[in-house]
Amino acid sequence: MPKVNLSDSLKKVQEIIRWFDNQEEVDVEKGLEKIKEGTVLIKESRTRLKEIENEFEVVKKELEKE
Amino acid sequence: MSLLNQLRQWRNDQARVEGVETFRVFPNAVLEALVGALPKSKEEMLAIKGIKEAKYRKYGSTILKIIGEYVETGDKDKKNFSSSRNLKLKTRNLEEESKEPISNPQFPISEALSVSQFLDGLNMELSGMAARVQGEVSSVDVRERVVYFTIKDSQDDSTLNCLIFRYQYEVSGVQIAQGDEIVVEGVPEIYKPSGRLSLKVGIIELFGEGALKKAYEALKAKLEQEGLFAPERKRALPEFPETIALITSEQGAAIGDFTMNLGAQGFKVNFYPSSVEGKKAVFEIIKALKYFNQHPEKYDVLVIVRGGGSLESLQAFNNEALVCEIASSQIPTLLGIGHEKDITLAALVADMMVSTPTATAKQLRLHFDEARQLVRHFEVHLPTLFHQKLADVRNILAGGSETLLGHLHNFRELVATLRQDLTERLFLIQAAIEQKIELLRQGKKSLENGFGAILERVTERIKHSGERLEQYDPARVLKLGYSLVRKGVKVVKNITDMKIGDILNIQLSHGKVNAKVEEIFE
Repeated sequence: MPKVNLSDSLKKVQEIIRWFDNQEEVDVEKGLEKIKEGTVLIKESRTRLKEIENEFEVVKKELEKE
Repeated sequence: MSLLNQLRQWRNDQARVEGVETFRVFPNAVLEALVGALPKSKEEMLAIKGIKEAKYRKYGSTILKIIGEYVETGDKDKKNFSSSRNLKLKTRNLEEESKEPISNPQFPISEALSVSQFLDGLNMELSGMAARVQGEVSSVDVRERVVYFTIKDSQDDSTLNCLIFRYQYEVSGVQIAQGDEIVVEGVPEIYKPSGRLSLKVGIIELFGEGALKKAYEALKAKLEQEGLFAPERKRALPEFPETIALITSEQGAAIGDFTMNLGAQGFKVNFYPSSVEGKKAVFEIIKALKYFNQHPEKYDVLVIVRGGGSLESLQAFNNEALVCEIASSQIPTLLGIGHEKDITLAALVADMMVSTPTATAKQLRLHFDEARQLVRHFEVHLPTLFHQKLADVRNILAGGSETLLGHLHNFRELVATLRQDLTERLFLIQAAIEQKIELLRQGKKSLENGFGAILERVTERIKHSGERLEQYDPARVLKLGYSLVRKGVKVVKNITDMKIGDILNIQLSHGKVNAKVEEIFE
């Protein structure tokens, strides 16, 4: 699974919302397409934002071998 | 601690004190060979590749002591060689050696030593006597490669000659001057050509809050002038960092506060443990910065944290070399260093600074927390948005129909009004026409009446005129027996109008006759 760029994903969802806000007459086909795209982005972002334990790695030992 | 780690620690400390690279003392391969061979004598030690007479003279007794103590205890884990300094303090001094001359292989009493050999022996012993000494600077001589200076004791004017290599002097970030109270750390050594003892200094620190404050202000002004604190130099930290290069101490509250407040964001933290106090910290943090900046692409942000402290305890973070190293980091820097009054120069030069290790962790997770809230909002908002939009369109359409019906109703009313208006107007026009017709009729009648009277009058007048004309008609006179005489076309009324011989035309009541004038009578 490719790495999710959270910043980009959230911006894209905001753009979709802006698109809806700016539409005087909603094109139903395009609207459905946008909803689908937004849903995927939200799902990906939510997955990335799940609480995952941090990984800690001490690098000094590696150094001493140099 | 394993023997290898003890030897490494001693080697690293020794290199730092001497101001040289670690391999100049002993490379790793030699340390590993020492662990493998566990030498107990000079001969066994010299048999190891990489250890010659000079090295043995300088470090031999210390190495043999570390190995001897390790072998004696036989407990690899319990033995704690906390620092080479502690170890060196345990080494024998010259006085002890003189009491036991036979046990010391360096100074066999039976044969005389050359001066050089004797000084080499002394230097070997002195190399194990690293010390930290405080005193007042009494002279400074800055040369091209070395800075010579002396410090004296404030109590009894005892004097100690010192020297430091220029590059170490520059890194120390301290510009010493006569009268400064300083603390130096180094190894004593006798310079053989002069026989003069000097302390080979690796570290210089200013002593006392006033001196530190003065140095802090001077360096701050200098760096500010160089533009190192300029806002335009600051890089934005990535919103969602993933890989963090962390530099701090393994001990102390800072690391705990930092990790506890970091939350579970899935960060990959590469932690480089380092001292965060004293000059040692300068070297170690610079080394860590250089290490991480070998591959800046691997890290999203470089973090240095330390708990609060006095100006003196935070001196490492006001060191020019360290500040410049942070400034040149290719990885965006975030510093969370507690302070009492003055913000450290290292924090001022960083791309972003916060005041505590806790705040640093919170800064790193800030956007993650915000993003979670935003995603929750999107999850609720987006699906309803489309339906809401469609409902809006329906409302607009409904509103549109009502408007259209309203317009139609108005139109109908307008048509009805117009129709009524038209009818009224037509009625008025009809009435006007009828009125006009009546007027015409009356006019005609009046005209007819008027014309009859006029005609009658004219007829009467004509009749009267005819009667009058009849009275004047010459034919009536002619009928009465009168004649009309003309000469040519001219009616003759006087005898003067004629002469004898003229032919006159005489018109009678019935017919005409020409007569010749034969005689005229007056």
